[in-house]
Amino acid sequence: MTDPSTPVAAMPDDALRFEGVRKVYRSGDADIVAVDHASLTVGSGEIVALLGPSGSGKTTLLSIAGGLLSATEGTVVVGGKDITQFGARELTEFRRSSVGFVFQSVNLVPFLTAEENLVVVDEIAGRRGTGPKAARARARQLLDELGLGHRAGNLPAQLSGGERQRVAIGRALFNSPALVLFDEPTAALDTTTGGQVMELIQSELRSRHTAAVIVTHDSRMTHYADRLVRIVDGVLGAGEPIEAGTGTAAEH
Amino acid sequence: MREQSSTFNAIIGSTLAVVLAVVGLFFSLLTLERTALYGVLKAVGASTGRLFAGIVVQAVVVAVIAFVAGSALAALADAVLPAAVPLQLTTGRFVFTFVALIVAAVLGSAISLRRVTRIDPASAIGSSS
Repeated sequence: MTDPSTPVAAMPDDALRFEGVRKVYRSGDADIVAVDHASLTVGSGEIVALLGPSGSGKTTLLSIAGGLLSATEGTVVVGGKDITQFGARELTEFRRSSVGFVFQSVNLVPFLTAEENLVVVDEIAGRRGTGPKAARARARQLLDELGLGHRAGNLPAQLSGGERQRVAIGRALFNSPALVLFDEPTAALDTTTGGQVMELIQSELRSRHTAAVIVTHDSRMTHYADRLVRIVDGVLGAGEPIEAGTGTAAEH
Repeated sequence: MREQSSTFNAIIGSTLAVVLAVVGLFFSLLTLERTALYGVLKAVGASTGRLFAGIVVQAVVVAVIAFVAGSALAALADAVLPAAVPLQLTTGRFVFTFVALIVAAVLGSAISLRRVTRIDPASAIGSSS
């Protein structure tokens, strides 16, 4: 575990590095600055909580990290590669293999089973990799690990909210990315289920030494992270270490 | 007789135009309805080309099934209706209808796909900020 009291220095194996990232949306004649000169480093295996109110730019920042949005200015380095230089094809491959996403809701393919929702990551790329059988075995193993082995053949509609979110976590981890991005992963869940999902996220990330950025507006969720970064009106605050298990740094 | 025939042709022609517009619109809405789904698939690594191919295949498959069902109904009508009813099924009409149907389905899907290619996955997914 990373020592939370010391900011992580820029290392070649950093999972994510933002340098002076700015995102401006044009709305009519006005420019709206969603993210303003954001600099942030997420070390290898580090879990960072990004806390901010609605409209603070945190989802925009997450989308830029995942190659879904391009930054207006600045450099975004993920796993040692500057993704701002990527073309469309490289970005597609990057999203498939280098990052995982977990969104707040409606994110599984409704007509595919839990297991197929994991395998689809390989299939939509038209790349069978090690072959469909191996992919299915890998999906089954991952679902077992997430406590969903018995639900592998169920459709999303037959699963509870917490189970659906666990399938989404499985999909994000399916290609073993070094970085997983979570956008309000517990927003659609009740507090108890949300806590269980966060515990599962934390233990899965730790056991795989996978780094993560978890966007949330719920300060209770931040104590599962190593470090808390606040974002207000597109501006990132200094990182705050989180005291293990208490979440005191996260309280308003 | 000739005047009657041209009136019928005008009715058939405008009906076909309306049918094709409805079919196109149906596929257009079908694609639009799934914008969020395509946004998620894009986020997990689907390329726009791949999504487009999937949408076209889907449109063609549905259109072919619809054509087969429609042809069967037309044949049934031909067999059941009295001879006095001026119904004429020709191979040429079947072929024309088939081609027009496929074109309408693919075009309808493709129109919406312009939106899919421009999806900002973050907003398609319905994130809060």
